[in-house]
Amino acid sequence: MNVKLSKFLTFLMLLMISSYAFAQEKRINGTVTDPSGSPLLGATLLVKGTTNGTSTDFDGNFNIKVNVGDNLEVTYIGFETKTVTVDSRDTYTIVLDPSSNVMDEVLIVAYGTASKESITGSITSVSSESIAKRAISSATGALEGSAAGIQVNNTSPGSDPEIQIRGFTSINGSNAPLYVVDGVPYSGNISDISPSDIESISVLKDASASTLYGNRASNGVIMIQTKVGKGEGGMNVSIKQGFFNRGISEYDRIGPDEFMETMWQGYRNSLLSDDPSLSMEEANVYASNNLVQDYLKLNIYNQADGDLFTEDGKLRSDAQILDGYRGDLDWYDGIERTGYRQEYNVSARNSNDKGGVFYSVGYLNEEHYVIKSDFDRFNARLNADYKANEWLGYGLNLTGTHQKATTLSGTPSSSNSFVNPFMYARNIAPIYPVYLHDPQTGDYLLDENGNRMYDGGEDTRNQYVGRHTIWENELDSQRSFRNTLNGQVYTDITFLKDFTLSLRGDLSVRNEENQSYNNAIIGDGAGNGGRAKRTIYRYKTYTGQQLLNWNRSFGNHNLEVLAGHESYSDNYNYLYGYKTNETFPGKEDFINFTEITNLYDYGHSYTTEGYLSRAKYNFDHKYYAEASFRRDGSSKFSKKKRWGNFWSVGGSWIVSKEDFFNLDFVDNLKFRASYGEVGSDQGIGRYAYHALYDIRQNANLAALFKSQNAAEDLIWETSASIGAALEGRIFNRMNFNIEYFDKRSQNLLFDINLPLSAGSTSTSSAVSTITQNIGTISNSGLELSFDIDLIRNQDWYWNVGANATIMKNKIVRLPEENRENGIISGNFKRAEGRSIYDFYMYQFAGVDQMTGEALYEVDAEKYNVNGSNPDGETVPDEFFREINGEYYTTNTTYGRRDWSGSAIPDVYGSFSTEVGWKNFTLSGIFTYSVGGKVYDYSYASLMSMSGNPSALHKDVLNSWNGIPDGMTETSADRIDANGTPEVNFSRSTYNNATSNRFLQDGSYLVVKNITLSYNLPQDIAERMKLSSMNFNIGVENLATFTKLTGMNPQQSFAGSSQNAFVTPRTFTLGVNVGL
Amino acid sequence: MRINILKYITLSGALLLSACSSDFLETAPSDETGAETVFESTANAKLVINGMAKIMTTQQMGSQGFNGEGTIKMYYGNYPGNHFNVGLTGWANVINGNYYDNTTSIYNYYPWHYYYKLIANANEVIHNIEGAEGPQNEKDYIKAQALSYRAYSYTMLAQLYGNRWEDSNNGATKALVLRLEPTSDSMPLSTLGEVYDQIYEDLDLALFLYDRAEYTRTENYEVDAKVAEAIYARAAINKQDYPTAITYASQARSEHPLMSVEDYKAGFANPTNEWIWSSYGALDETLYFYSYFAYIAYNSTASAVRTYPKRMSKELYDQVPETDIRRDLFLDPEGFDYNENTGEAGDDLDAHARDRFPALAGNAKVYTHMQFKISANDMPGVGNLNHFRSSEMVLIEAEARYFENPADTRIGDLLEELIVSTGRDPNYTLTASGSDLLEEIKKYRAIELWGEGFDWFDHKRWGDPIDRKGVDEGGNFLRPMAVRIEPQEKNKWTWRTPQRETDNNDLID
Repeated sequence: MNVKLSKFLTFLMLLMISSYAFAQEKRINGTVTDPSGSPLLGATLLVKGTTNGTSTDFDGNFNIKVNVGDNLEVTYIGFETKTVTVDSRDTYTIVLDPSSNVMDEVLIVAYGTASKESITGSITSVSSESIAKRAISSATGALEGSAAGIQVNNTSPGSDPEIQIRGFTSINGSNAPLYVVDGVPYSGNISDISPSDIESISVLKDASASTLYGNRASNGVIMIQTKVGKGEGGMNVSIKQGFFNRGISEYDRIGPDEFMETMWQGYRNSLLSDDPSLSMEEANVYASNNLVQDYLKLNIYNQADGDLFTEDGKLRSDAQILDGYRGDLDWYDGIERTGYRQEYNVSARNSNDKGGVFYSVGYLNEEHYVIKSDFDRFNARLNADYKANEWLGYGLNLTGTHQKATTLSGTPSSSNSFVNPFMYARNIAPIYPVYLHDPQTGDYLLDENGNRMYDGGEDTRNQYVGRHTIWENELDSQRSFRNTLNGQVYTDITFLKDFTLSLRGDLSVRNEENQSYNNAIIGDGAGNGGRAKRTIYRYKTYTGQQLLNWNRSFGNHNLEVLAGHESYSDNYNYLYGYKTNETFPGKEDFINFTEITNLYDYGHSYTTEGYLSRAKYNFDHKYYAEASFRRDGSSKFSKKKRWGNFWSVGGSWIVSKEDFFNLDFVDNLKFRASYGEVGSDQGIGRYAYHALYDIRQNANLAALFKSQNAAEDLIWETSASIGAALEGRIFNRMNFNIEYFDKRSQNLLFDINLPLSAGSTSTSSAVSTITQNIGTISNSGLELSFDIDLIRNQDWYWNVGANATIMKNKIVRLPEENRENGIISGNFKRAEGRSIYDFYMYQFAGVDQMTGEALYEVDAEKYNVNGSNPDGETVPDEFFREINGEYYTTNTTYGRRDWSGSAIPDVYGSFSTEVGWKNFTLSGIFTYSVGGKVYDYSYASLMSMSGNPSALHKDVLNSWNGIPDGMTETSADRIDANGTPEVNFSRSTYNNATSNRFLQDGSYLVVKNITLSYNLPQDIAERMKLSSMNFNIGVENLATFTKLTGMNPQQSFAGSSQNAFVTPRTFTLGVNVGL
Repeated sequence: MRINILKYITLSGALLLSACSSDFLETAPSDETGAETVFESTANAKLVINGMAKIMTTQQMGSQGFNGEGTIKMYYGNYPGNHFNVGLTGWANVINGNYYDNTTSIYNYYPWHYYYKLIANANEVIHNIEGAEGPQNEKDYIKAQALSYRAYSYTMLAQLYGNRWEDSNNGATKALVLRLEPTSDSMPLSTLGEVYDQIYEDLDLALFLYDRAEYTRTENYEVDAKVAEAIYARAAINKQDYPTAITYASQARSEHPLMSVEDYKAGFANPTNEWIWSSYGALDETLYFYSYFAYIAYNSTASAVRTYPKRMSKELYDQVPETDIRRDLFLDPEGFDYNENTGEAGDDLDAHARDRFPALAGNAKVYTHMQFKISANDMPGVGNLNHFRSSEMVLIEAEARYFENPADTRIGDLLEELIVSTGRDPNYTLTASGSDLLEEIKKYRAIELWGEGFDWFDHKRWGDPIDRKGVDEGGNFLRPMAVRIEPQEKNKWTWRTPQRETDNNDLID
């Protein structure tokens, strides 16, 4: 046998040599680069039809023996394959175009990776390059505008953006997706992860893609993969410097003169309506004489209190604001600043055939555009893996971060708080100064050191007395410290050729301490001689995973099977301490206080366990099928209802690989479809099924009261989704994707409002609730996206893209008892056939031009309106109006509520564009939303006036002011549907009642990101002994366009806008250096 | 090799099947406790009674000023009354009663939220207590206490959301949801008469059980038979059921002698003999700026007090005799400088006030007729909050006797007992008779109970108008609050059923 073999080999060699001898053999060399001239290392060159090949070295150089006329095929992952015919030249520069053919891309999927081609569900991803361009502290911010079906809202500085995938699956609270970091569910803060450590972010949008995370995947999954040590070694240094300012301008508010006149009218009108015996003249005189004394308290004008107004309530021409007050009436001046941002990251990686290691350190410092809102983060990471031998691999990821944040209460949940600077500075009347002044001369009053003194308002204001947002912010402090340590170990054991057993353990510990201090001089701490508060959170989350994989190919059949088990535990301990009566001012340590007013702690835990399995099959990489199953248990459900089963199936067909498919202009065409059911327990608290009593303390004895109704029968909320998509590439220039989805959530977990007489289950709001599984919601729609290379040549390329999601949210089914009347919740009503955010409000009919009153449609079903309901009460005459044969009320108590539109947009999405010229690239992302209404609480409050002085919107100037000429009782245009009611202190509560009048168009366009970058030519970089160098200038949130200036359309998915932080605009200059 | 394979299979099999232990998915909170534990024993059930006491001094709805019972006194009894003057022009809508029929207003639904929360907890106790482990007498008095809380809550709700009795067509008008079991289904409104019948029934049973259990309490914040009798008296006077009011007003004060002058001047922040029932307050259980005392106590450091001290109406003040010690508890501006329009003190009046009441915060404002009756034990507003005291019982009895028989000589005795024997005005003698006698009772009720949350309730019960005089009319109210409100105006002062009830209760339209 040996002899035979050697004979055969010799023959073969002879054959080869002979053919070699006949050809025109020569050696050629050259470089392979990308369009910007950067070398591509490890590109493969292969002489077509032979096994003769090589790959490029570190500098992209190659050297190969070929024959003239050979076709040399050059391939590189992520780039278009190019074929070069060898001619007489000996040196070649081969430029590869970046591949837009994403089919070869490898994506992170649940419990593993998969080629884009093989995916049957809906997945999109964002690469490290797109993240690196952005000046964001939380990497998931980069998802905004990145793909169809994803909505992102902005929140306060330092916190993570809110993300929603394909609509609202749950009515109860959170529609947030599940985060999975390096393969395990993550419950920490995304902002703990440095964006520069992230290799990719994948978004799993449908059930087929996410079933394997069955228990918490119904809102989609965001998978974050951190960088690992692979490829050639290298080191990268990146530096970003930038500054912040406010990204959305303030509402248009009226100034002092107009304010004085409007308040005068409000008072005069209230005098007339409160006391009908008063004549107009008497009321005018009374208002002129008493407005300052009765309501305003401070007079910043150069005339006496009673000499400010003419008879008809205009400021007299000689009434001028005293000079000293000018320039001291804008409270935003003392709150806002130009913020500064700096970020430094250093990372390095190296690897060999046994494994690799990636390590990084980073520092981020943000000083936001509001004073005393700062964020500092130090982070370090070590990701290492090692392959001990052919069957055993092992790896370890270790991350630590330390964060320090100085914060302010500026979130929508504190929209009415005195310490919310936006609430205060927005609403304080324009006649109240920041500093103390001499009321006679208007000059600043100075302390013994010659400094201005803040005005706490005790003698000067009839608004926010004893409160001063700037002063309090200066003396108080609110800080948080967070330390995070995350460790993950895993091992992969290969055995029996096709089997891999992966064991993974992840432990994340987090400590967060919030410190707050309130001074003894002004504000909340003043009554207690200063006070300090600590909240300490200690979190521990761990995950254990055991996965068994089996891969096998038989001819054209490829099979992959996975089975596994996962357990997850999340617990935290909360400690709360409060002390009052400070010894020294400004010291926030507890030792500085002498009275304990509160001290307690408690712990909570949440656990889940799941069994999972998946099978994937494909025939000839043309037909793909996939099925998954998962069974989950959660501690949130009672023992008898604890487990749920979730599953999915999906398939895809690469149409363009079929022999019969011969359209030349189509490079690639894929059709996929899937169906699956995943679960959710997110809409409920950790102990949702228990009947609970709060533990408090009265007279040093425990005090218990009911806080939660039992809900033993709660079961998993499930979301069933069906999806189908067609995606492909044509003319080698354009990628497109058309996708239909219908996601139905069943057995929705929902806090049903009971009659309030059943007893509030909360002390923080007046609601009596019980958690139930109710009804079904559907989110269905189309996602469209495309991008096209409009120009692509040696020096230029220009790509534009756009995506749109057209979605309809609909409540498909409600429980029997709610079917007829729906479920009313705040400004919304839930009813079958309607969306979950359909406004149901009192109907503003217009302004009565004879009286200036707001008119609302009257409820003729409940009340007896001219015989409409003979058994009902009649509407009191005081609030009842008959105008031209129609009936109205002036008090919404007797008004009719009706559907008033939805908070959910009809269509949303983004546009993007990228232009490249030589080494320059200019890119832009624009996000938009069309349709969808917003109830703007800030605007409604700026439009209302009671006796409490408070800032007013300029639209108040359009208020009704007397009967228009020619108007009579019977005029056809007696009701002005777009009118603004008269200003009147005592009638404001009726005139400006919550109604559809204050709903705003929520459509917006945001210039999300503009970046200009420049790559230093390779030869220059090399001369500087660098492997690469790149500069970029960018701006985040350049502009937001809305119909109503001041409104933040991205504050909430549920159509509300309140006093809170608005989006910052961030300008950044960055440099990346490869060493 | 084969051995290795076996090893792997065993290993992987073991790991895959390694489900977590069976109690891995059993979790429970440590800051809340399960209902089953609560009603396991009488010892635990007592903590729910204490929980109801806590609800009465707990911040509610996360909104400034809503603090349990103190809010009822302040926003529902004092602010909209006739003799309570607070210079908050921005609050004119609350003070002038403009929200009675605004069914979405927080002022409209607060009492409904608060009292039904008490009722829901009382219903749980009444429903579950028999199943708890413990001696029968403990079960008896725990149940009696829960019944007392329920009766109190319905008594207060009836005064707010029910018509005044004389407008109710003898109790026939709809008033409240009469929820007597821990249920949450829709229920129609019961009539005012049905509500009072239930209050009586609850109190009768409570008195029977207190007696059978031979219960005596140890702390003033606990409820006992005397508290039940006091509730009875207050309910009966509102129902114009005078014989019952006389009986229970007299019984309720039998163990609570009227307080001395010294006690009267001690600030109303600590229980005296006279107090029948109160809520506990201490610095380590502080309600911060939400508490009743942070809205009224003259020495409070809260800005609600410092900038808007609470004042007596000038008309009432002028009726308090010179010799009455209660006159000393309000600032007499006579002979001093002050702003005639606003009542703010000039320098000498300011100095005079601080001289007399050194506890006044240094940065507090001084106004004419401001009160020094109520003070706080600690800052910004810590104190024990009184709900029933014998003086109210005396005045209830006097009022009831008047309506039974205006010529009853006991009326004079009662007034003298309250005013003369206690030393509040040693020189007092009763001269009034006939309808003047009723005015006399009303006047002394206003003086004695000023600031304790009775003003509006009394005017509603009597069908008297609110008539506040502005400065130009010889009073001391700012113009926006100087109004006259007739008893038949503004929905007859009856708060409408809140939308938070009607939206979720199909049996009420």
